[in-house]
Parts: sequence; C-alpha cells; structure tokens
Amino acid sequence: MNLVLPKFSFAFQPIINVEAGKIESFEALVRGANGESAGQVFQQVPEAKKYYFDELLRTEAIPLAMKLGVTCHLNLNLLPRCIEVSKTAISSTIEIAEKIGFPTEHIILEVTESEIINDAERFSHAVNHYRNFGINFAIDDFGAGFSGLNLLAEFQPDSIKIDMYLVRNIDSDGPRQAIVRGIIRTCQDLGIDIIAEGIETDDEYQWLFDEGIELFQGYFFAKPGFEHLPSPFFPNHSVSLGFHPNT
Amino acid sequence: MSSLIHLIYSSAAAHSLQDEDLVRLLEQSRKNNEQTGITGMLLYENGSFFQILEGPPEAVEALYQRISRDERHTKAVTIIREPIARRTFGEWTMGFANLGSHELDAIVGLNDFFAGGSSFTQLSSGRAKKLLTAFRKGRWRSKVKNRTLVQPQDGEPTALEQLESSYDSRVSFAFQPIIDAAEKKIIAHEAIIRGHKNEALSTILPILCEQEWSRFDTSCRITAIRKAAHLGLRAELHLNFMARQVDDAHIAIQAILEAAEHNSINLNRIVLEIDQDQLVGDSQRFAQILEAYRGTGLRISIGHFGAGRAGLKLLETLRPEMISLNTQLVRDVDVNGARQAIVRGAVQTCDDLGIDIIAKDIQSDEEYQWFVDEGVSFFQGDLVESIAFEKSLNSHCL
Ligand SMILES: Cc1cc2nc3c(=O)[nH]c(=O)nc-3n(C[C@H](O)[C@H](O)[C@H](O)COP(=O)(O)O)c2cc1C
Repeated sequence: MNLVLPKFSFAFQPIINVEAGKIESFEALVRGANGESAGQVFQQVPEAKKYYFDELLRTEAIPLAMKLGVTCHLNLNLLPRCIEVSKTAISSTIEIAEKIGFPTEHIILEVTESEIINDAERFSHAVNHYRNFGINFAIDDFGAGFSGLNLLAEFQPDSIKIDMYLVRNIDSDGPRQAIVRGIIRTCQDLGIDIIAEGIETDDEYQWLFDEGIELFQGYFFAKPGFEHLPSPFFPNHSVSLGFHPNT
Repeated sequence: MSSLIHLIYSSAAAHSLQDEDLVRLLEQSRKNNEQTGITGMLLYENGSFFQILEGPPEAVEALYQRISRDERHTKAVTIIREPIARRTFGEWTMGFANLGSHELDAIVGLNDFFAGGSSFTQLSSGRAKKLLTAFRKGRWRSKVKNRTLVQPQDGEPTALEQLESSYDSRVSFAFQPIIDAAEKKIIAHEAIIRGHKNEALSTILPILCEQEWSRFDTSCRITAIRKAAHLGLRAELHLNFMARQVDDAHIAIQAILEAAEHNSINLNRIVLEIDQDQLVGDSQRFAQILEAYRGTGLRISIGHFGAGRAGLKLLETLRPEMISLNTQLVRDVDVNGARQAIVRGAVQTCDDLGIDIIAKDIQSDEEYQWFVDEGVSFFQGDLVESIAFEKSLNSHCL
C-alpha cells in the first residue's frame, strides 16, 4: 500500500472589506507543488490519511502565510470529522501559531455546511473549547447544503460564507435574492458576519453590497495567488452610506 | 389539460414615466395581450414596475422575451415562473395600478386602481396575490438585468390503475386542523396516520421493505382522501408524502389524482406535504416530476422545515406554496434568540416568495404569541387550537 502524501503548497485569496477598503483576511487554498489544483492534490491522498493530511495542511499553511507577510486574518479549512479522528486536529494548529508567533485570534477555521449538518450539536461542543484560544469559526458554502439557517440554531459561527450558487446571477434571480435576504436577516440578528464568496461580476457585487454586505471574496476582486499575496481590486463607492450601527 | 403559467417579474423604469407614456404602454399591451391570451397585472410605483403575466407557456415566454428587451425599463428580475391551475386575472388583458404612496398605505387594497372596478381583495389568494402584497410592502423594487428563462420540463404521467388499499384494515387517520389565527378559522386538515385505535404509526406497522413502503405510502393517501371525503371535511387537505424513491413520485401523485377525482375532491384543495428526509434521490429530479402536476392545482408544502435536509435550497428547487416549521424551531422560541433569528430569516424569505408558513406543535401561549407578533398566522397542534380558539374565536366560526 502506498501511503505517500503528495507534495503541496498554497495559494492565497483575499477576503476584503469594501467599506473599510482593506483586506480582512487571506484564505489559504491547497495547491500542488507546481500550482496544481486542489482537486488534483486530494486525489493523491490515500483515504486512510485524509484526516491526517487535513491537519497537516493547517500546520503548513500558517508558517507560509507568515513568511509571505500575512498580518490580517487567515482562513484555513477544517474537515469536521478530523476533530473526531484526531485529538490534535485543532490544537496542533494553535501550537504552530503560538510557536512562530502568529496570533491565534487571527485564525479562522472554515467548515463546510454540508459536513457538519449531521451533528451540529456535537461539533459545537467539540470546537467551543478552542474559542477560548481566540480561534474563530466560519461556515463555508452556506446555503449550498440543505440545512442553511437551521444549522445556526445549534452552532453560531463568527462568520458564514454565502455559497457561490446563491451568489451566481443574484442580481437577476428573485428566489436567490429572497433566500439571501433571509440569511442576512438571521445573521444580523445573531451578530454573524457575512462573506459573499465567488463573486464574478460587478452586478453580483453591487446587489449584495446594496443589501448591506461588506465582506467579499472572488475573482472579481482577486484570483488566488500561488505562493504570494495578490492585491485585490477595491470597488470605489462614490456614495457612502455612512451608517453603521455596529461600529 | 391546457397548460397555463404565470411569470412575475419586477423592473426599473429607464426614465420617469408620464401618465401618457403609461397609457400608451397599456393600450399597446392590452391590444397584444388580447390576441395572445395573456392576462395579468402591471403595477407602477415611483419608478418600479411589477408585472404578473399569465397565459399559455409559449405566449408568456415570448412576451417576456420581448418585454425584457424593451428600453423603457431595465433591471428585470424574474421572481417566479411556474405552472398555475387557473388565472388570477382572468378578466384583465392587463390590469393596471399606478400607486401613489398614500394609496400604498391603504391596506384594504387597490380597489380604485383596477380598471373595471374589481378589487384586490377579490383576488384568489394564490401566489400572485401574495407577491402583489409583498410589492405593496415595498419589496422587489428596481433590481438589475435580465435573465433567460428555463424551459419547462414536461413529463407525461403514465396512466395507472388505482392501487387498492391493502393496508386498509390496519390504518386509520386522525385529521388535525390547521388554523388561521388571524381569520379565526380552520383552513385545512392534515391527515395523520394512526392505527385503528389511534396508536402511533410506528406501533402498528412491521418494518416495511422499500417496495412495500412505497405501496403503503400510496395506499395511505388514497385511504386518507376517501376518509376525508366521507367525513365531509371541507377545508384543504394536507397529505404526507413519504415516498422513499424519487422515481415513485409519478405513480404516487397519479394515484392521488385518481383518488381525488373518485371522491369528488377538487385538486386545489389538496396539499402534499413533502418530507425531504424520507426522500432518496435527487431533489432537482423530484422538482421536475412535481412540475408536471403543478397546473392541476395540487400544492406543495415542505414539512419539518429547519430539520435535516429541509432547508433554504429546497425553497428554490421545489418552490413550495407553504412550509411548516420543524418542532425544534418552534419549541421555546419565545426565549431562544437563535431560533427567533432563524424564524425571522425564514419569514423574510417566505414573504418575499409568497410562501405561507405554518408553525406546528405549539405548546405554550408564549410560543404562540411570539409567532403571532412576527406575522405568522397559521398554526397546527393540539394546544394551539385551544389557545387560539379559546381566546378570541367566537361562536360564529365553529
Ligand atoms: C413594464 C412593461 C410591461 C409591458 N407589458 C406588456 C404586455 O403585457 N403586453 C405587451 O404586448 N407588451 C408589453 N410591453 C411592451 C413590449 O415590451 C413591446 O414593446 C410590445 O409588446 C411591442 O408591441 P408591438 O409589436 O405592438 O409594437 C411592456 C413593456 C414594459 C416596459
């Protein structure tokens, strides 16, 4: 049996705050050593090592991010099952960060909606402990699975990322608009930040911005940069609404 | 069955329109619509259009294509496009309302604005009316750009003999009322499977294999329809749909159609409550199957909304007429902030999409009151009947 893990590295994609005109975070996205896609990398990971690999990715991403000069937040992916399989799933991430001096409160662990839905309560228990260390949690692909809003009854993350399928053509798609408005309403009531990811067009961006979303990620602003930190495009707002009850 | 659809969209006027412009637009529309069999309603308020087009699919599609290219407006947002059983605006080749803001406040309706003097309150309470209401409340104002329409899926149902109800001797039904607390009346009954002595389903059934389950499920609904007819229940009838296999849906729905006809129950009184977690298979495919029956008047409800797989995405794929909130979201909602926030989000989304919300299994006065305050007025459950009816239900309705 060949249990050799593939060589890998990372690309970084910014999450920007358009209101403040600054980069809020970088998401570390796994790539092959020569920039191969994430899919190609995971294909080479033996099933038995899946969760070990998941943990390894986080501990490797932090030093690289630090080396590239990430001073804002850093979004890292986490397979929720990893917590069950490995006791050190999250603690190793914290350990590395502390060792090299990357602030743990700058770390955001992203979990895909569809992966925690089966046992949100258990997940919530398992991770809440790490919040004491300043670790933040985000739900990725929000609205893509079937669960959506209800998940938030069990687990309230620091932020959610609205799934690309909801974002796509949202400017002209009524049902998606209605769904996103519902999500915004709920998250505002719960104090959960909303990130719109996968933005590709100005129209998509504009609609979401008009609904009050400030955090964005997507090709429209910046493509992921392989082993470097790309500078995003910041849309300028001639009209500033200037009303932020939360700040 | 000649098929009908309605397409509802909103858009922004390219420039501020004068009365003459609107009159010209309307005359042109009425003339064309008369010829193509299109009816509907056009609202104009402060730069925003909101239009309901109803008619044969091809005619509506063709017109919408044309309208989308019209330079008098931009930013068309397709809100809904779905088969309907009958027209809401049968008499109007294009009704029109130009809403001034003070008229918007008049809750009673758009009476004065309709050509022909018919009133808003007379409209049948379908999705079109709900979306009109949403527009009046300020929703769906001027958004961006056009999009191409998805072609309708046609699936020809195969004729089927009625399944005999071989489980008949073991099952019976409890018919639990669903009430409208605002109107103080029973709007529907849900048929809940029971044993003959009112036992819960689980205690009377041996474990069924997949195939048996589908048969059982279908036969249950046939029995439920017959019993409801027999009891002379006049409100809507909610039937649970627990099919395990998406591909069995055709057969199952066909059986409902036949049973309804057999018992002289109009299909627009039947609501299928879908339990998504029971369903194995692709919900997109399931949506396609349902689509073929939408024109019959049969309506869809998503049960246990908020649990398992019954979430936001289903609102887009299945386009239900209503949802019922999962017990978990209802329980202690008056003191649970997370549940409140979630329900508010769901209410917001459903309002925008013209979907009714039913709160099930209310267990306290506080839970009930919280929902009423949030504008939810449909309830189901033992306690709520007594709460809602006791309080303010006077003898005139029961
Ligand atoms: C908001 C809006 C609504 C319209 N509604 C209709 C309509 O219901 N029926 C119609 O024939 N044209 C309607 N039109 C006009 C069409 O876009 C198009 O101009 C017209 O059908 C062309 O008609 P003609 O071939 O008679 O010139 C509408 C235009 C706008 C801007």
